[in-house]
Order: sequence, then C-alpha cells, then structure tokens
Amino acid sequence: MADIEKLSVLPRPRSSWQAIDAGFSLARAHYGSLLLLWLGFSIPLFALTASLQFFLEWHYTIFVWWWFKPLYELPLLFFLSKALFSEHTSLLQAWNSARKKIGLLLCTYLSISRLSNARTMSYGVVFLENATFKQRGPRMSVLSRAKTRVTTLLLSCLHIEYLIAYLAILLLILFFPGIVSEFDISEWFLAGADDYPHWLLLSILFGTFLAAALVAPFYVAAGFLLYINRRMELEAWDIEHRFRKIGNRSSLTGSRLSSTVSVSAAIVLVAMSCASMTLSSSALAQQNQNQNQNQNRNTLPDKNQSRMLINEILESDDFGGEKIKKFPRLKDKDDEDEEESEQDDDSPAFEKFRDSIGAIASSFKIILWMAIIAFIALALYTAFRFRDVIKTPRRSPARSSHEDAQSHPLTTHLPADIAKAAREALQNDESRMALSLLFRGALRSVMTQYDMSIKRSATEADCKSAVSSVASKQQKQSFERLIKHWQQEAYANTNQPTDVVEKLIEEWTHTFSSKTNKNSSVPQQ
Amino acid sequence: MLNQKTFEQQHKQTWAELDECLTALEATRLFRKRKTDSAHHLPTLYANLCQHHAIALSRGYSHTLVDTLHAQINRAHHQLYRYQGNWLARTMRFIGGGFAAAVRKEAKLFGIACLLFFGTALVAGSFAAYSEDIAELILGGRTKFNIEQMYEPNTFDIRPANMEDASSFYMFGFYIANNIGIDFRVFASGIVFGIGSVFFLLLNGVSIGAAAGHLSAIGYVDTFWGFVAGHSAPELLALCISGTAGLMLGRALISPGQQSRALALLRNAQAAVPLVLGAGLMTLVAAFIEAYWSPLEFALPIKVAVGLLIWVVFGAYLLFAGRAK
Amino acid sequence: MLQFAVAGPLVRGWAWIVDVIIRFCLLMLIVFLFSDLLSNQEAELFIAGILIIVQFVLAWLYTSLYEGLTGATPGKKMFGLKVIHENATPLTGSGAVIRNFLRAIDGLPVLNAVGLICMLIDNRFRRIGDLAAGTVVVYQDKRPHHSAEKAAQATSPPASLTKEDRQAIVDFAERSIFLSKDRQLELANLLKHHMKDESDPVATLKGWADWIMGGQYNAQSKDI
Repeated sequence: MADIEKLSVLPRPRSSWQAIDAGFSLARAHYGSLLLLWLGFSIPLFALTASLQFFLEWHYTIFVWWWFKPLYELPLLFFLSKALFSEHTSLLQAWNSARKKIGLLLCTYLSISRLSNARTMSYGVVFLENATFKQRGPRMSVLSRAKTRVTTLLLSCLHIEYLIAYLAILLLILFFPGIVSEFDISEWFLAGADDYPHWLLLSILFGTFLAAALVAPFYVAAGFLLYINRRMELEAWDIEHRFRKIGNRSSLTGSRLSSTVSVSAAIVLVAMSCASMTLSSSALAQQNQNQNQNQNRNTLPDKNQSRMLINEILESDDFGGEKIKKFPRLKDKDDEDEEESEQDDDSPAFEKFRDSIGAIASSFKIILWMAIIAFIALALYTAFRFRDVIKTPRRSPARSSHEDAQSHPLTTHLPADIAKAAREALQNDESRMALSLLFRGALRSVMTQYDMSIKRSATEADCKSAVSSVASKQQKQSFERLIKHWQQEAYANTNQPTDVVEKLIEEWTHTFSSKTNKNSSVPQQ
Repeated sequence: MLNQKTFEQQHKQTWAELDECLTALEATRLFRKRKTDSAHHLPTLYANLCQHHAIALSRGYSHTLVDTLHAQINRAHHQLYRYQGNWLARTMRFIGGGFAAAVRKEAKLFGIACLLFFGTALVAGSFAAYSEDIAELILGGRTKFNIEQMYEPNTFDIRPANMEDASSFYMFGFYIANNIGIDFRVFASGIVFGIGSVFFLLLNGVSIGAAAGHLSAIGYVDTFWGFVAGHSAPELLALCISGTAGLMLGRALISPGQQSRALALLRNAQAAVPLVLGAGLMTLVAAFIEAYWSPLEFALPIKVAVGLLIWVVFGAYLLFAGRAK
Repeated sequence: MLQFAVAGPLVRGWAWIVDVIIRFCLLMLIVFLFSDLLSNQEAELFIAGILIIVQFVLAWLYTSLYEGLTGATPGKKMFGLKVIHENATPLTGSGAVIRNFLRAIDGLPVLNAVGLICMLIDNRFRRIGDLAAGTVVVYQDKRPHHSAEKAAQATSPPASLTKEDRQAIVDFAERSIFLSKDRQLELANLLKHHMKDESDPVATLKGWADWIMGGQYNAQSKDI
C-alpha cells in the first residue's frame, strides 16, 4: 500500500536535472541495500559467464554478462518503488518480485529493448504500470515529451563506469608492480585481445564488474526518479495530495478534527497514477486490486476513449511542437563566428605583424619593465595613502580593551562624594544602590590613585585581582569585603542588613575617600 | 482579506521598480559606474519585497506568485550582499602590507615551512657537495647530466643568440606557468592533512639543494649562483609561503582546536587565501627577474650583491610592511 | 527565508565539460590567430610564451575569476547553476579561490574522480573544494511564468476552506493547462461532494479559483 502522504521525495515540479539529483540522493540513502540487491543476481551470473570462458573468448563472456544487466537492476526498481513511499521491503521480497517478472524481462529488456537509451526510465512503465506491448510506445512518448535527459544520464553513467573500471585496473597495476613489469602497457592497445596476459584479463573482468556494481544504484534510482518526476508533473501529484486532504474531510463545514483523522485513506501508487490508467489500461490495477478497486473504478475511461485521449494530448500545445534536443549546446555560436572571421582576414596585416615580431618582443620587454616600475610606485603610494586605514583598526581594539578611571563605564558618572550618596541611598532603603556606589567608588579611587586601567569587560573578580596587584593591604582587604557584600546583594539577591552596609560606608570613608578627594583634582588638570 | 489580484495590483509598481533597479545593477559588471540613484532604493525595495513574500506565503496566495517573489528576493539578495568595494584599492592595500601582515600572523607555520624547505636543502646540498655519487643518487643520472650541461661555464648561454627578447619572453611565460602552478599545487595538496604540502616542500628542498650543492662542488659557481642569485628570494620565499598556506589547511584537520573540523577548515582556508595569492604575485615577480635580469652577463659579485639586496628588500617587506606603528 | 535546490554531480559534470570546451576553443583561437606567424623561430618562441601564459590563466584563474565576479562560469550559467556560500550569501572572491584551487585535489587522478566520489558521499553534493570554502552549487531560480486560465464564471467556494485549500485550488487552476482533461476531471472529482452543482466539477473548481484570486472584484466590474 503506497500512500502519497508518505512520499520521501517532496512532490513539487522539478527539472530533469533536479529529478536526477533526487534519484542520486535516494540511491545514497539506501545505497547498501541497493548494492546487495544488485549483487544478488549479478554474482551468480558472473560466475556462470566466467565459467563460459572455457568455451568462449573472454570478451564474449563479458558481453553475455553485460547483456543481462537489466536482470540485476530489476530488484532495485521494486525496492525503490517502495522506498519512495517510505516503506521497507526486505531484500528477499524484492528479489522475489523481480523473479516473477523474468518472463516479461526476457521478451523486453533482454531482447529487443536491451539497447534502449531510456531503459531505467521505462522500467516503471513496463513493470510498475504493467503496460502491454502496444501501450508502451505511446506511454513512453507522453512521458518523454518534455526534456527528460535520459540519454545524458545513460552517457554520464556509462562514462563514470568506465572511469571507475579504468581506475580499478590502474590501482591493481600500482599495487602489484611485479606482474606488470613483464607487460608493456603500450602492448595493451596494440596487441590483439588473444595476447593479453592472464592477470590483465582478470583485472578487466573484475574492474568492469566492480564499476557496474558501484554505479548501478545511482543509475537505476536516477532513471526511476525521472519516470516519477514526469508523472508528478503530468498528473499533478502535489495537487492531488492536497485535494485528498480536503476531500477526506467529511464536510467542509465540519470541524478541523475530522480532517486530521481521515488521512489514512488508502492512496495507492497505482491510484495516484490515474492519468496513466486512463492512458494505458486497467492492467495496472491488478497489482493492488484489492486495495483500490472501489476507489477509482468509476473514473476509468475505456480503451477507445484513452486512445483518443492520447491523440488529444499529443496535439495539445503543451506536448506538440518542439523536438527533443538531446545534447546540451556545447559550443558558443559566437566562438565559431569569431574563428571564421579571423580566418577570413587577409594576410598582409599578418605579414606586417610577422616582420615586426622582434620589435614587438622588445617593446614588450619595455612595457613589462614600465609596468613593474609603475606597480612599485603605485604600491608605495597606496601604502602611503592607506597608512591610516591599515593602522587604525589595529589600534582601536587595543585602546578600547583597557580603560582608565576617566573612560571606564564602571567609574564614570559617579557622584563626587560617594559616602554621602551611599548614605542617602541607604536611607531610601536602596541598599543595592548604596553597595554599587561603594564598589564603583572604591574602584575609581584605586584606579585614579595608582593610574591603573582595566578591561572594559572586566568582571568583579578581574577588578579584585587588578586592585590587589597594586593597592595597599588595607585597601585590598576592604575592597574584597566590599565585593563580597556587593555580589551577595546583586547576584545572590540577598538583602544586606542596614548595619552591615553602614559599617561598610564607615570603612569606605576611612580607606578610600580621603585619597579620592586628594587625587580627584589631579586628573582634572 | 485582500485577494490576490488586488494585492498584485497594489504592489505591481514596487516590483517593477525593483526589477528595473536589479536589471541596472546586474547589467554593469567589472567597471560599474556608481548608479547611486537606483541602488539607493534597493534596501528599501528589498525589505518591501520580503514583506510581500511573507504576506503572500501567510495568506496562501498561489504558488506561482510566491515563487515569482522568491526568485526576485534571490536576485535582490545577491545584489545586496555581494562584495562591492573598490577592488583596485583593496589589491593595493593587500600588496602594500596586508599580505606581509597575513604572513606574520602565521609566523610559526611559516617558520616550520622554511625549516622544512631550507633545512632539507641545506642537508641535501652538503651531502651532494660532499660526494658526487650521492648527488647522482638524489638527482638521478639524467637530471644531473642536464644541469651540468646547462651551467657549463664555456657554453653557458640561457638564451639563444639573436633572439634574446623573444626567448626571454618565452621563459617568462614558462616560469609563470610552471612556478606559480607549483605554488598553487603546494597549497591545494595541504588538504590531505598537510602531508601534501610537507611532501612538496621536502621534495623541492632536496632537489634544489642537491643541484646547488653539486654544481658548487664541481666549480660552476659563476654560472649557477650568478644566474640564481637574483630571483632566489621571491621564488623560494613564495614557495615557503604557499607551503605555509597548505600547512594551515592541514592544521585545521589535525588540530582544529575548540571548533569542529569543518569549521576550522573553513576558517583556515579563508585565512590562507591571502598567503596563496601573495605567493603567486611574488612568484610572478620572481619570473620576471628570472627571465629579464638573471640571464644578463654581469660579474658574479654584482649579481650576488643585487641578489642579496632583493633578499633584504623582501625580508624587510615581510617583516615590517603593514605593521601598526 | 531563502531556499535553493542543490545541484548534483551530473549537471555539474556537464557544466564542467562545457567549460573545458570553451577554454579549449579559446586556446585554439589564439593558435589560429597566430598560425600564420609560425615561420620565424623568434616569433615561434614569442607565441609559445603567450600560449603558455594564456594556458596558465585559463587553467587556474578562469574559473576563480568568473565565479568570484559573477558567481558562475559560462558553463554553469548555461545549465542554470550558480555557486553560493552555505549561508546563502553570494560567493566571495576568497571562496572562489579556495574552491577552484582545490580542484587540483578534486581533479585527481583523472577526470575529477576524487571530487565525484566526494560529491556522491556528501549530502549536499559538495566536493572537497566546496567543503573547504563553505560553498554549494545551486540551481538559479527560474522565474515561473504567470498563467492562470480564465474561468467562465467566478463562483464562491464553500466558506470554510482553509488557507492551504484555497492555495491548492488556485494552483490547480494555474497548472491545469499542463494536465490532460481526464486528469483534471479526476482531480476535481475528489472535491465533488463539496459542490452544489456536480455537473461540471472542473469548471466549478476553476470558478472557485477565479473567485479566490479576485474574481469577485472582476465580476463586479464586468457588471458595471
């Protein structure tokens, strides 16, 4: 049961390239399973064909094994068709479904359609939609009206495969230089296949096998997604998805609750592809008959109608007209034009140029020298001009990181007489304010007295260590006590008793205030 | 609630204005004139567009409209956030000291790179000078023969007679392509945990050192050192600097510090770019000297003096340029 | 909220091939330009020098410069791709330099094999150069063409449609030109039991869409 709600690929309009990318992503997500599925059929056949070597030339055995590639790919298709809807299939199930279709495979992809360029894309039509022989052609032409890039996909995957095979053989040669030394690589190309040494034959065989195995999951998945993408586009799966949600609500006037409950309706892969059914036949429905019989029968037109439909679609604007362009444009027209125009140029100018080539070369030297001199002059000038720009950003952080009593935010904007202000605050029952004043005032007095600067971002602990490094012992102890009470007040949120604060103010006047008053005039001068 | 058609009608003008502004900004490229009049409106228009897109999304307007607005946002975003500084001034500032400052910032790695290169060169050079067999072992028979022939004092002439200029130019091109390419490769190979850069530094150190040692030992001092003295400073320093850049990539992967390896790689690669580009420029200078100064026939002391002067200039540049006073 | 579709190895491979061909053509162009001069040995040397420099610039700087300045090489542009940083900002110069210089590693041993494998493993199709530069290759947004089909008569839909429902119906109307008649009918039938008049569900649905889009407004103006 395939549920459109569970699509693992977002149903939205995609270009063919994006569909291929989505296929690659899907293949990567299930790479291990896909690889095993592929190996399941290919290893036995590889062993079989390898044993044929006793009777046949080696390249015939590779050919035989290569011819049966669709067979290995079929289990991947069944697996992917389930994985697309976030359903898990066991490997055995996938192999079994593929085994049942071997007959069909023999009369399609293992015979006439083996050389089709759209192989992996058309698997969907043959094996998932179960289209009959006659229906396949029109169905495929509908699917490939838009640019599907199947040939590009085939060519790319083919070349990636060759690349991997080649690399594998190269790697082998690198790792076993001993056997290779007897063999001249140039002979590889010159010699007939019969003269190949045994190790080379073996490495070609295994290289080909390895490359095919590694690439197959990506190739099949990309082809499958191209097929699915076209159907999403032609059948507007995304819209159906949303319409079903609306339709599932018992009534539009009903509450929201009902909409969430009824999502579970069985929407089957086959059911989604109603256009394909209208175009092909009800044979598709066989597969999942029991699940969706009632749901969609009423919408299926008969065969004659569908034939008319195909023609109608083919004639419609959207599908008609342009031929598919299979290759990207490789060469700019402009390039060609330029080349031609250059060739058309008459030669006297060139002759002149040829005569003056020595002069040009020497003038080139002069130009280069001049360029170098100009360059150096420009560099010097720029270095001169931008000296401030280069300098300033370096300096400004240095200045901003350490600040003295005049500029540090903690110590500016304080009243001149700290003790008095603190007493007033205490009378107004603002012990927090009082402690803050005392702490910052003490800091200011120490910083002014010893001409100390601290970081803008300094914490209480930083202040404490900075003060203790310069101040007298009495100041140090008093400051530490102050900080302790301030931290309890400010951070631990415990109100300090009034008498304690008063005592602190007393102490503050003793240790800090007189010096502050004495020194406060100094920086103002 | 506003329906879609009215919404489109209402904002059509803003969108058209933005489109016009973007087209103007996209059309002009490298030497873009300051079209301040249209560019001024871009931030406001962009903000409006984003709001319209959000509204369209939240009101559930059709996908075509939402997608159209999204495409426009992308275009505007690209114009708004791309680098638009004065590239000439930026380049000049880079040469005028930014490059040297970037190298000094990685002084430790630069030291390691220099040690790897000059150290092996010294060791290989002294071994090669000590024994011809070792020189042959390191250089290989064919290369040894070739360089011996090349610097043979009696026949020494780097440039064929009668066409000095053309051949100088050819050598200039060759040195650019070959040496700068090596610099860039040394950097790129650093991504393999720094191993590539270390390998290339050692390889170059060994072969250059051995050649120098061997040629000095067999008495080709005039021709070899005379030729090499001029361009050695920028070329060898540039090789070490690009090696530093490669080692930075390796460091990001080996000891990323308090960040993920991916992030460390990103940051280190970003910081390595000035080094690579600067090394490329230095090698360009070296190629120029090598092609046009080095083949000139002057007495060895003059050549060595000039070479030392160039060493001092580049050393002073790397040490002092771009330093805050 | 900016969204991008990340481009995979195949389309990027083709863009790369196009770039290779363009560069090859440029080099050939220069050879053709100077081919008449190859009589004189001095000239030969001179031209060889030019060719070497051009080849170097094409090999190392062509991609970096194009991507740094415009965000895409000509090949990428042809396939509708562009390079951006992972935070969706345009590619910076240093980003372009990193990702293109590291192609020296991605290109190993032949035909970008390392890069290809890295791209197939990474979940955003990034090669090593992309990982180091923090970049991704994405599809450039194509501006979709706006084409809603005109309905015969705007009719008011049921009042209780949610925002998403209305959007779906409008999308249906806009996309219907790409759908076969039967498929349209089939989709419309899904909402049949919500319609008062069940004779022509497709037309009804398009009428609803027109109403949602602002058909009411139009209908009024027609009446006047």
